[in-house]
Amino acid sequence: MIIQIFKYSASLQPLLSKPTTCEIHSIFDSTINIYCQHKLIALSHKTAPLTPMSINLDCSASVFESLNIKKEDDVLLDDNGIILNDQRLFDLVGQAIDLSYPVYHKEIDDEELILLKANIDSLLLSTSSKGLLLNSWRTLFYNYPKESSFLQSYLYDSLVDIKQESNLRKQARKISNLIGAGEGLTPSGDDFLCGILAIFTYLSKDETISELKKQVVKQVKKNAHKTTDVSREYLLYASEGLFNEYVSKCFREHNHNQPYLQYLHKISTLGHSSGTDFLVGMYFGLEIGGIL
Amino acid sequence: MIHNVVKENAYFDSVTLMLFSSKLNVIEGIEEAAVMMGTDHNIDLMLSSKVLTKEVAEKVTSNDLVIGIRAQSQEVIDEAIAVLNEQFENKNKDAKKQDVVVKTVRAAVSEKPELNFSIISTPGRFAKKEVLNCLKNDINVMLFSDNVTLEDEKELKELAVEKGLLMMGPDCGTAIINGVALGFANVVNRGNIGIVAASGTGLQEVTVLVNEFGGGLSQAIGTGGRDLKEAIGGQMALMGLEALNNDPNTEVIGLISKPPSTAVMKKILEKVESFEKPVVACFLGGDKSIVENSSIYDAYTLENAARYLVALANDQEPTPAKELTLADVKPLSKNNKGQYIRGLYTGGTLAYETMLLLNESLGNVYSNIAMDKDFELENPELSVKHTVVDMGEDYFTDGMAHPMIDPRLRSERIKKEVADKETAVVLLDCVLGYGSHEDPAKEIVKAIQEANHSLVDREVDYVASVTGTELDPQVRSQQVSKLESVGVVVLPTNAQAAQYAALLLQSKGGQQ
Repeated sequence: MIIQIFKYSASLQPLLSKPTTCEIHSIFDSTINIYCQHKLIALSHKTAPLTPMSINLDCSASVFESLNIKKEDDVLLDDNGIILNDQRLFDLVGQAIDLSYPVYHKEIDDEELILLKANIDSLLLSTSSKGLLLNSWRTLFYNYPKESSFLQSYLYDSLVDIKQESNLRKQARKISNLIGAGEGLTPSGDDFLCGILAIFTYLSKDETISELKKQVVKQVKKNAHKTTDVSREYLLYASEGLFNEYVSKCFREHNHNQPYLQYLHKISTLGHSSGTDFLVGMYFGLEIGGIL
Repeated sequence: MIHNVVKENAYFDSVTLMLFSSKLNVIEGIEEAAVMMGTDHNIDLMLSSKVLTKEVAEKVTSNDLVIGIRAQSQEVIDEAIAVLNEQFENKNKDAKKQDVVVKTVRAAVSEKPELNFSIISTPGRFAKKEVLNCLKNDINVMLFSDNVTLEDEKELKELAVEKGLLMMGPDCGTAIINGVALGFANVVNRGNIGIVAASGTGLQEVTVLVNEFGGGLSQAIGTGGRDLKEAIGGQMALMGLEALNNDPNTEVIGLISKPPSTAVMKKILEKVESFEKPVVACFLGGDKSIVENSSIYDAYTLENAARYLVALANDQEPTPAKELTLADVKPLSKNNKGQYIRGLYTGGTLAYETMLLLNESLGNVYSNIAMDKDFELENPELSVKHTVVDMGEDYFTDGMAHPMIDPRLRSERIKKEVADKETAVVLLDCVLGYGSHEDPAKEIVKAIQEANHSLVDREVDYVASVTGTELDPQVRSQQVSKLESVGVVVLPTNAQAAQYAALLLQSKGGQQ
């Protein structure tokens, strides 16, 4: 049975333009990562959120989980799709999705940005998600009790440091110092960084934020190799202003004054703590950007 | 003492990593435990926190999983190693379970020629081909998929009827066939009551109440939500009714649906007139006159449908449930300053029934499934006055699991509604059974406890019903206890919960 490609990230189009031999990088329940020309492609099912490195197949999560793919399987990419062990499994007829979003068109002190920050604040306070970075945020802004682990202390101190730093370059360095730090397949520090970059991209009309973004991106590109393969890909895409579809839709809707809360909710549910770590990053991006 | 485990190029998802970490951190005698990827930064952190040795640190790469344990004694470390090995073994077992036995219907049929039932869940535009494959091989079908065109549904059902097979769906999530619960369904006693339903949680509510009232199910056939529309002509409903009429194990027949089209209604009435077995119908929101002068017993609510079915199965005269009155209702909490009801539902039909009942007693209920466009929520995330939200609707489930499986979105919404000073009563369903979340009441309780933190100098009242049985994996009485432990008033049925909530407000003189 041929499984079609439902949708894929438009940023993958150059990779899909000519036949390329790839290899299976890693296999999870709802994602299979393929290593192709020094980049990762993430295969997933129809309802998984699309990321800049995603190809989503037109099948349910349970069908995807039952695909019999092993690490040693051969993979060939061509302009018609993917061939696995000499058998064409997927056809490239799905939709290429552009995950970029426009820059916010109003000034930095706009009410809608203050509301965005308040909504993120409310979500971070009320979520039942767990994570040391989230705990650190709650301790920093709401005096929640601090856990005693070394990692918790480190993350808390880092957030305090970033918040208190007034020099742009130093602040960029401190933000980027979190690359590879923390728990998870995508360490918390990386997700936090991606969240900050998402906001900086959105608010890059402002000169100060644009400069700060430039500094952070420089550090990210220099140090992205110091984290896991999967996380590195996300960081590099974030440097180019590309994030998953929930983020893209959130900012597009916000920009047009349309309901966007459902996308913030969806971001918060990603991974074990990746989503909330990302939101903490967004919050910090707004805080550093001067949105009070 | 420090002990390290390194799994090279090991890709475990974050949830698994957290699980490993949490299992280690509860072992007595563990001073510090860390489960992290071997990035430069993490290695530095683990070294400075003395959970990693220099020798190990020099060998790891960013894509290695590194586990660091610092403990008081070798015994504790040995215990931690045993826990880790068990976790790794569990992961390996899970991986092996994913072997695929067959990939096509043809292969399945040649493997097991006696196959006679299939459940199909593919993207909508591929469903027809697979259903045809099954029907042509004389296999009955339960079609879970949605996004199937009306034309395809009609064609498939015509073929199914021609061959005397069931084609339940599309978008059919609930059925009980020969005592086997399929999809989102509950464990109920077997008996002599057969039901046909174009409604998932409607079927669940009626079957669990039949069970509760001492009856049992012969069969519960789902038809898919569109079956009783004119385009489909009620093909599966008519076939299901006929099958139950001919089934020696069925003595009473039930039909649950929103009101059918006029033409389909006529066909149903004609069909049922020829039956000797009594038929109970619950056409939610339907005009009573549509079954006037027919032999059908008309039940206004899902609860009454169950009551009538059990009464008739016991050769008794069916009587409706006694309506609740103000005397049945405990007063609103003293400090409840709100005015409105906010109903948050995981079951679509349960939301629909509630909306109908609240409209009758309070009027002007807003909803994302409102029949009257004037009361349709402009933004499904923002409640307006009295509001009932079906959180299983497409708006909420695009890219997310259904709230009956993953209750997180509803939990967030509970907190949001409670934070709204205008909310007096939060009204909830709690649906059990196979396919549902393993402990929905626990998630509701957590949400309520967190929500109550936001209450300053005011209170909110909570009302719920639990759709389930004692035999369900979640065990109904345990779910009820959990809800009651945080002050939720739990009513025996969805209809009663809606009535109770309305009366609560009326007892205060709540605003309409």
